[in-house]
Amino acid sequence: MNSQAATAVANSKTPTMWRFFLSELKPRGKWFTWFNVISIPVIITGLILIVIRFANGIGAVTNLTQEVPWGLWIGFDVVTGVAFAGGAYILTFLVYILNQKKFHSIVRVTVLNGFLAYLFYAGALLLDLGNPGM
Amino acid sequence: MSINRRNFFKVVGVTGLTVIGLKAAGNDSKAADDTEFHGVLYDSFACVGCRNCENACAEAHGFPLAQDELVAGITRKTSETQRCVINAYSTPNGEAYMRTQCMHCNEPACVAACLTKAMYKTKEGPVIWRENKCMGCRYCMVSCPFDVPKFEYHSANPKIQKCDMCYDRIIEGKIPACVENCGVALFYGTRRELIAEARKRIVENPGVYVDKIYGETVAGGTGCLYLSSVPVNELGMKTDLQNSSYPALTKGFLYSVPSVFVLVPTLLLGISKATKNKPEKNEEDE
Repeated sequence: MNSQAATAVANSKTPTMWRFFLSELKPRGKWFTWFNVISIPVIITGLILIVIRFANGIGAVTNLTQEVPWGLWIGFDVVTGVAFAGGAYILTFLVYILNQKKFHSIVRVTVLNGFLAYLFYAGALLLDLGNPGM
Repeated sequence: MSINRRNFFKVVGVTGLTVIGLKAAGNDSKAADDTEFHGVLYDSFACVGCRNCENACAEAHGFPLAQDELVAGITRKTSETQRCVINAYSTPNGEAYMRTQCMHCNEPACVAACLTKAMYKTKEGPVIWRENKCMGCRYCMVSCPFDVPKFEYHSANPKIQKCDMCYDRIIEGKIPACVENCGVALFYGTRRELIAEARKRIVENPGVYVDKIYGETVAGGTGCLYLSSVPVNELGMKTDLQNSSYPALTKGFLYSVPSVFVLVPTLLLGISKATKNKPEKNEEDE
């Protein structure tokens, strides 16, 4: 009951925030694009695999063995995640350390890109842990 | 004397570092514990391949008994439901047996690799796995030179399974279940005693044993020691491992990592200062 009251208070205090999120979630323009046609099935498949992975163990969705304990998941995570995030390091190094100010306009978007890369990288690594809730 | 902010931080920093330094330097005088590493000696020549140790192990840890037959030439492997196995090999001296389980290294690679200290070298000698600390990253499996730790891939709450030398029995003062149920080929004791016993056996039975104790030096020395009548590489044991400890390979590098936090910011600050305020770069001011 207490928590409900607390949420209600939070909601009444920040209705504009929720409205902002909802309006951000609403698709603008066409949503039936090639990008979505490809990515939505990928995301749904991934969610299903995540459910199976947590219900039946890592062995249910991977082919990892006692001899090969690290496989595609870690390989792909590290290669793509670090590569994406590396761009942010390089660009901030160029702009703030080497003072190449002509690249300053793309720093924000690159750092956001690096942050998202690390976010999904860490999230994917958590899935590969046997006991992520430890 | 008045104190400004900068001086305050200086004093606090110096005091803090001094306290840390003193603690790191001085506090080494803990009560000297003379517990020695214990281990298990396996005499391959004395082993008859009855697999009592396997069954005792399965019983002691709640696993199903192994049903497969022991056939020379077919290598059975430890798994997440079998912490030790006996294998048979055809050798020039007839059929010989070899036992595989965790070697309980003196300086285990798995303990050095474990991020959460779930793998732990106890002062009694066994390398144990602690469930409440493990996050399931499987680093121990990658790092182990003997491929010992096994992971429960088909469990929603997976554990690492490996021989723990029956650590719960050892702290009760009992001996490991396999040793208790063997009587001819497995011996439990301090590592020092076991090496002496192994040497004695080699000397007292000339021509029977290979004059080498596997485990005395391999991977920096292991708690499990092996005597055999044929070279151990004919019995499926790894002989391509180094004779010094594996964690020692990375120790020097890992100790130098903290210096990165001091040197790299200094370097970057230097570069930043050096490239700043060049007239031609100054047109886009912030």
